[in-house]
Amino acid sequence: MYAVEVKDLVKYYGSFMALKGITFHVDEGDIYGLIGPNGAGKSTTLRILATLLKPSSGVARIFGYDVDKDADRVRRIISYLPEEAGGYKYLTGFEYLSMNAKMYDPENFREYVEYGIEISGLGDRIYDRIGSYSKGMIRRLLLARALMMKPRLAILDEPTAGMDVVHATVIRDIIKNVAREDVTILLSSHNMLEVHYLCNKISLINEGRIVASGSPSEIIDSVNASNLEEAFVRLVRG
Amino acid sequence: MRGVRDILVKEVKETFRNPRYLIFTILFPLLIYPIMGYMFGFSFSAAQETISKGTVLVVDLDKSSFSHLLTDYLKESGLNVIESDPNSLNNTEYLIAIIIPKGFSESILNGSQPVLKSRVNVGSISFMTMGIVSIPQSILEGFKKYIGSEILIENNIDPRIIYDPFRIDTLVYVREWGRLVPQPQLSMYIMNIYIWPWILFGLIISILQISTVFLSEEKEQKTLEILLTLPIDRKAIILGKILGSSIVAISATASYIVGFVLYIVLGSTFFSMVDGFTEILNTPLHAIILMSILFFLELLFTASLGLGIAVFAQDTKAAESLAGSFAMPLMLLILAGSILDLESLPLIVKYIYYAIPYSYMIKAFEHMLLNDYSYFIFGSVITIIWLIIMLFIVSKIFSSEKLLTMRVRLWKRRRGVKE
Repeated sequence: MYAVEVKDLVKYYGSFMALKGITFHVDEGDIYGLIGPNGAGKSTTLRILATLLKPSSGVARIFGYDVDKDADRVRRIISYLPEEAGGYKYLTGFEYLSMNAKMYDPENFREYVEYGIEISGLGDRIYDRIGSYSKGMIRRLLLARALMMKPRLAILDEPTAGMDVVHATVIRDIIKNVAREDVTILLSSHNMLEVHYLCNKISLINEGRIVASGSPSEIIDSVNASNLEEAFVRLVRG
Repeated sequence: MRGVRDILVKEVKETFRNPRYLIFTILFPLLIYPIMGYMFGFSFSAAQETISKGTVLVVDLDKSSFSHLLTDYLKESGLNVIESDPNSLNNTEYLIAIIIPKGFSESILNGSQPVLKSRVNVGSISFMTMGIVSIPQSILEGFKKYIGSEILIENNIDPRIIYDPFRIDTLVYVREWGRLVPQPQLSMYIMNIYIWPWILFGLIISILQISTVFLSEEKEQKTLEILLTLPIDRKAIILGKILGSSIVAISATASYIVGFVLYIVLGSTFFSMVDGFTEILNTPLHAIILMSILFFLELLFTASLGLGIAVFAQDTKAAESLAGSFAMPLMLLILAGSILDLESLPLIVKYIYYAIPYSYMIKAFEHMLLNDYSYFIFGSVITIIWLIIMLFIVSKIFSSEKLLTMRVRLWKRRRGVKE
C-alpha cells in the first residue's frame, strides 16, 4: 500500500484549472518532494491531500483512505503544515502544543508535548506567548506541532519558507530526524537545493502538470544536467 | 464530543488575554457606569451642601407680617439667611438673593399676586447647577403652600379642603395582561420593560461581533487551515466557538449589568428607580430561569449567526463591520416591538414578527413579571428551530471548502472588474 496515491487529479477554481490530471505515489518512509515554481499547483495538491480542498476529479488516497470520502480517517493519521501559517498570539507555545496534542490523544498528550518542545528547540521560551515570537520561532513551533505526534504522513508546504539560512538548516535537520521514526514526509518547495538535500524521491510540477518523477539523481541524469535546478529548467522548457 | 472543550478553552483564553477586549467589553461598562452614577449622585449632594453653606440675601422692601414669615421660613429650612438692603445685590458673593417687593402682604391678601423675585448666582453651568437652581425654587414653592395654609387656618378652614380635597387612586386595566395595575407600579414596569431590551441589544451585537471575530481571526492569523486538518469533528469546532463566544458574551453582560446597577445605586439620590429594582428582585425564581433559558438560546443562535457571517469576511475589520450591519434592523425590531400595539397589526405581520427569535426578548421582561411561562416556552421553541437551521448551514459551510475558497472567488471577481 502506498502512503500517498494520486491518480489523474484535477482541481478547478471556478473556471481556472489549477491541477491538470497529476499522478504520483509516495512509498511509506519516504521523504517525498513536490518541486515547482509559485503557482505550479504544489499547494493545491497538498491542500487536497490534507482534506482542505475537494478534488474536482481523480483519486487521492492516503494509506488507502480516500481524502474526500474518508476525510475524518485521513485527518487522524496526517498532520499538515501550511505554507503561510501562524499561531494564536495570546496562547503560549506550550499551551498551543498541548491543545493540539490533546485533540490527537487526550490521554497521552503529555509525551507528545514533551517531544514537541524538544523538536521546537524553543527552550524556556515555549512558556512565552506566541505573539512575542519571531517568525523563525513560530515556524519551528508549527513544525513541532506537525511532527510531535509522529503522524503516519506529515504534509509540509514550504517548511522553510521565509526563513534565514541558519533557521532553515535547523528545520531541515528536524525533518530528517523525524523521518527516521517511521514518519512519511511529503513536502513542497521551490528551493531545489533543499529538496535535493532532504528528499529521496521528487516530482517536478509545472502549470498543474507533473513533468518528471524519480530520485533527484535520476532526474538530473535524465536530462544530463549538473544539478536539480538546471534539470528543472530543461524539463520545463522542453 | 472530542475537541469541544479544547476549542472552548482556547477561545476563552485568547479573548480574556486580549487587552482590547478586556478594556472595552469588561472594564469599560464596569467603570463608566458607576462613575456616571457617582457623578449624578455627587452633583446633587454637592448642590445641597453648597446651598447650605452659601449666603441667601433677603432684601425685604415690605417689612410686613408675611415678609417676616418668609424670612423665618427660609432660616428654618437650614439656609444661611442674611437680611440686607437693595445695594447689596451688586455684591456677587451671595448664592441666592430673594427680593420681597413692597406691598407683598397686602397684595397676597387682596389676591393681586405679588411677584417674589429670586436670583441665583452660579459660577458656571454644570450638573450641580441643576440642583442649586431647583432647591430654592422648591423651598419657595413650599412657602407658598405654607402661607396659604396659615391664611386658611386663621380663617378656620382646614387647608386639606383646598390643597388636597380628595385622593386619587388610578388603576390601569391592561387588556393584554387581563388585570388592573396601580398607575405608579405601571410606570415602574414600563421603565424597566423598555430598558432591558436595549441592554440585550448591546449584548447581541457584541456577541455577534465576538463570534464573527472568532472565525475571521483564524483567517487573519492564518491558523484556520491547521484547525481544519485536526482529527476532530468539524461540529466540535463550531460548538467550541459558539460556546466560547457565549461565555465571553455572558461575562460581558455580567459586567454591563453590574455596571448598570452600580450606576443606579450610586446615583440613587438622583434617581427614583431603586424601588423598581427592589420589585424586580421579588420576581419568582422559575420565571427568571425560563427567561434566562430563552436569552441563552438567543445568544447561541447569535453566535452561530456570527460564524455564518464570518465566512464572508476576509479579516477582522470586515467581520466587525458585517456584524455591525445587523445593528440597524435589530434596532428597528426593538423599536417596533416596544412602540407598536402588536395586537392591532395585520395577522401576517404578526406571524413574521413572532417568527423572528429576537422578538421574544423585547417583551420578555414584561412576561416574566406576568408569570406568563407559555411565552418563554414558545419563544424558546422558535429560537431552537432557528438555532438548528443556522447550525445546519454553518456545519455545511464548515464541511465544504467554501470556508477557504470564498476569499479566492471574491478576489477573482474584483480582479475581473479591474481588467
